[in-house]
Amino acid sequence: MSDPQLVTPADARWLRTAAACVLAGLVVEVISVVATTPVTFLLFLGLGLPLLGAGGLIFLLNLWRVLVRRGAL
Amino acid sequence: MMSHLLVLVALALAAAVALYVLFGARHLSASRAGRILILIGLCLLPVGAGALGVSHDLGRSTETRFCLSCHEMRPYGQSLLIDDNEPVPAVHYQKRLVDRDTACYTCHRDYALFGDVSTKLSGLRHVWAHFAGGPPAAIKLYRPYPNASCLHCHAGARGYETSKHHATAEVNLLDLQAGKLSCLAKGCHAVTHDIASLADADLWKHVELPK
Repeated sequence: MSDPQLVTPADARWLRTAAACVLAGLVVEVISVVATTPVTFLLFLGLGLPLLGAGGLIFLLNLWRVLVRRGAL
Repeated sequence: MMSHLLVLVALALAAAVALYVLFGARHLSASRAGRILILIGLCLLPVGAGALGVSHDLGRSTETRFCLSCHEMRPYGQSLLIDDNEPVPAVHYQKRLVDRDTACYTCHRDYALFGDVSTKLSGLRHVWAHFAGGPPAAIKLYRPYPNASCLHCHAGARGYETSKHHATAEVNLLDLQAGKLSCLAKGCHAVTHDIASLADADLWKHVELPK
C-alpha cells in the first residue's frame, strides 16, 4: 500500500546519495573487471569497495532514522 | 570467459537497480514493492557485487597476463621464452610443466597454510615498490626461493626421487626437503630468469606472451 508519509524529501535525498555511492562503486568495479591489472584491482579495493559499503551504510542509517521516527524501534 | 561475462551481467543488473533508485527514490519509496527494491538495490546487491568483484579479481590476479601487465615484469616474462634447456622457468613454461596462463603464480605462490594471503600481501609490496620510488635496479625475491615451491610438484615424482644427481655425497633428498640445500644452488638448477643475457638470447617464437 502507498504510504506517502513514510519517506520525506530529506529521506529521498539520502536514498539518492546512497544510490549514487553504490553506482560509483559499481562503475569502478566494472573497470576493474574489464581490465584487471594491479592498479585497477587496487582501485577497486581502495575506492570501489568503500563506495559500495558507504552506499549500503547510508541506506541502513536512513532506514534506522525512518524506523526511529515512526516509533518502530 | 563465461564467468567474466556473468560477472559483467550481474554488475550491469546491480547498476540498473541503483540507477532506478537514484532517479526514482521518492516514487519507489511510496510503495512496499518499491521499498523492497530499494533494500535489494542499496543493501543486498552491493554486498553481492562486492564479493563477486573481489572473487573475480583475485582469480584474475593469478594469471600470467596480470603479472606481466607491469612493465617491470616484461623481461621476466620474456625470459620464459629463452630457447635454452637450462633456465628453469623457461623449461617449465615451454614444456608446459606449469599452466602457461598462471605460470608466475604457480611457481611464486606460497603453498603454506594461508599461502594465498601471504602471496597477495607480497603482491601489494610489489605495487608499493612500484609507486613509492619505483622498483630497484635489480629486482630480487624478498626471501630465498623456498624448496617447498619446487617440491609441491616434484616431491614423489619419479624423475626427482630417482635422479642420480639427488643422491650424491653433497646432495640428498632429505636435505632438499629440509631446505638445507637450495634447489637453485650453484651447480644445481641455478639458472632462473636470466635477464642479463636476455638481449643476446634466442627466443622461442612459437608462443606469444599474454599482453
